[in-house]
This record gives sequence, structure tokens and C-alpha cells, in this order.
Amino acid sequence: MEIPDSQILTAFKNSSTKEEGFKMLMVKYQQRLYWQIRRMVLDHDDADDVLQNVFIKVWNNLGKFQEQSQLFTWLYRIAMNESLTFLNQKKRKGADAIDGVNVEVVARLEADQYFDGDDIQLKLQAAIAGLPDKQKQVFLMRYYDELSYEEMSKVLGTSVGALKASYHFAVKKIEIFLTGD
Amino acid sequence: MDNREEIKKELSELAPKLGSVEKGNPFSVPDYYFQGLPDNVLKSVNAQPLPWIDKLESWLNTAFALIFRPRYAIPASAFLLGLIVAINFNKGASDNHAEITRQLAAVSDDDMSDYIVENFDEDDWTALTVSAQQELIIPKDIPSEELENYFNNNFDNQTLEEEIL
Repeated sequence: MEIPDSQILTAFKNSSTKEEGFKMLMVKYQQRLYWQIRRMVLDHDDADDVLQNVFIKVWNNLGKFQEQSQLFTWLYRIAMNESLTFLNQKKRKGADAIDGVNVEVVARLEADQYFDGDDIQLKLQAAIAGLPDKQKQVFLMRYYDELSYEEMSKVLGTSVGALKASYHFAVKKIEIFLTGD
Repeated sequence: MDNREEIKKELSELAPKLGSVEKGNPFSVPDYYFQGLPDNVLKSVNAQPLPWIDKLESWLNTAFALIFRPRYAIPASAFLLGLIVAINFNKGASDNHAEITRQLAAVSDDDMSDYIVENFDEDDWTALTVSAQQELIIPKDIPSEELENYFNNNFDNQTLEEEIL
């Protein structure tokens, strides 16, 4: 049975059960957060680094969590921001982008022992990697996490209209890439 | 219509090829990764510096960044230099005073008497005795002319020497 967020927060706010509460939070949410991050950064080691940073931020700030939003929405937002920060830092270090598709990413995925996709999956990941970061984020949230535009709006603080536009652009770009037009 | 159906329909209309791709997870993780993650994170959390150390470090970084700007560097250097000089001056004065006290303590009473008899004239005696008496026992409201008259009428040099020494 899943532990309710209220129980996690109560345990975390008590100094004698803080670590226990934090462990409950990690066990409950680590997989969902990991996969969101992993789809953004692709590589397992990078995803692991980003996720650990996310949890350290959560540890440092959970005491100030106001409970005005759902705990998972708050965690999701931190994970997305950390992933974007990571990707921006990586870009500054100079990854090559040709025709909007990151060729280095394709080569890396082909050599990655933790990537088991077939050709169409590889092509899809290459297409996603070539999207601008914001479009990539919106596409992943809708395509894989199946969030409604309203839920995405709560996490990203962006209007539903802007999110729809971003998603449509992203889908069209991927479709063009997949059909080879 | 729930989210999943709505998203599927939207996708098939916008991008039929993408809509036909099997939505599997092509990624995997090392064995037991999730089992070990909470303990690894807790180790990192406990290895963090204390929040006040972070704050101090950040404050010092800001302070140094400001100090090393040219417009602040010269006044800051002048202030530091002044501070060092002032500290050394005070330290020197305090050392000198201690040295004088030490040397005076080494002079014998006989040597002091001889020095006073040989080197003090009448005016010195008057000044010395008036000053010493005023400090010790004479009320402050007695005018100095009256005191001078009193000493001139009641003490000669011999008596004063005996009183003081």
C-alpha cells in the first residue's frame, strides 16, 4: 500500500523521524522522477547525478513546502528544472547539433548498455533529443507521462494555450523526422 | 474521455507515424539501482556542509568580490594599513611604558635621593611638593597662592627634604 504524503511530511518535519520520512519519500517517488529525468538527459549516469541533486534540494527545502500544491507536482517541478539546468550546462560544454538532431546522442545511445531500443526507438529518441529543451519537456510530459494540459500548466507555470502550441510543434517535428521528409 | 485516450487520439490526428510507434521504455538501469538509491542519497545529504557554513562561505565570497573591485580596493588597503600602524604604535607605547617602570624599579632609594638633591632647585621642590600634596590631601578649593604662602612660611628646603624622602 502506498504511504500517504501527509504521513511522509509529518515524519519529515519531526527531527527524530526526519531521515525515515525522507526515505519514505524517496522510495515512493524515486522511480517516477528517475524516468522523467532519464528521458530528458538519456544517459543513466547523468540521470543518477541529476536525481541525487533533486533529492538533496528536496531535503534542504521540504521543511518550507507549503502544501499548496501536491507533493508530486512540487517534486516534478524540481526534477524538470534540474534536468534543464543540466542540459544547459552540457550544451555550454559544446555538444554538436546538426539539423536539429544531436548526432552525438545517437552514437551514445547505440553504445549505451542501458539502452535496449530497436531502430524506431533509436530514431524517436534522436528526434526528441533534437527538440529545443522547452518543447522536449512538454512533449515528454504529455507523450510518456500522459499529463493533461492543466496538470502540465500547474507544474510548469505556463498557460494551457502555450503548452498546446509547444506540444503540436514538437509532435510535427518528430513526425517529419520519423517519416524522413 | 480520460487523458490516455484523449492524448492517443490527438497524436494520431497530428502525427500518424508517431502515433503508430509502440510506446515502450527503451531504457534500463543497473541491477538493484533503486534499492540502493535512498541510502546513497542519505550519505550525500549527511555529507553536505552545515547551512551556516554555506552562508558564511557565500558572505565571504561576496565580501572578497567587493573588496577586490578597484574602487574599494584602495580605501580598504589604506584602512588595513592604518589599522596595522595603529596597533603597532600602541603596542610600542605599551612596551616602552613597561620598560621604564622596570628600569625605575631597579633604581635604589639612595640613588634616587642623591639624584634629587643634586638636580632639583627650589622651584622644582615647590612644584613637586605642591603637586604631591594637592594630589594626596589638599582640598581642591584652596587657591594655589594661599598654598604657596603656606609652604613658604612653614617649610624650608631642609624640612621639605625630610618630609619627602
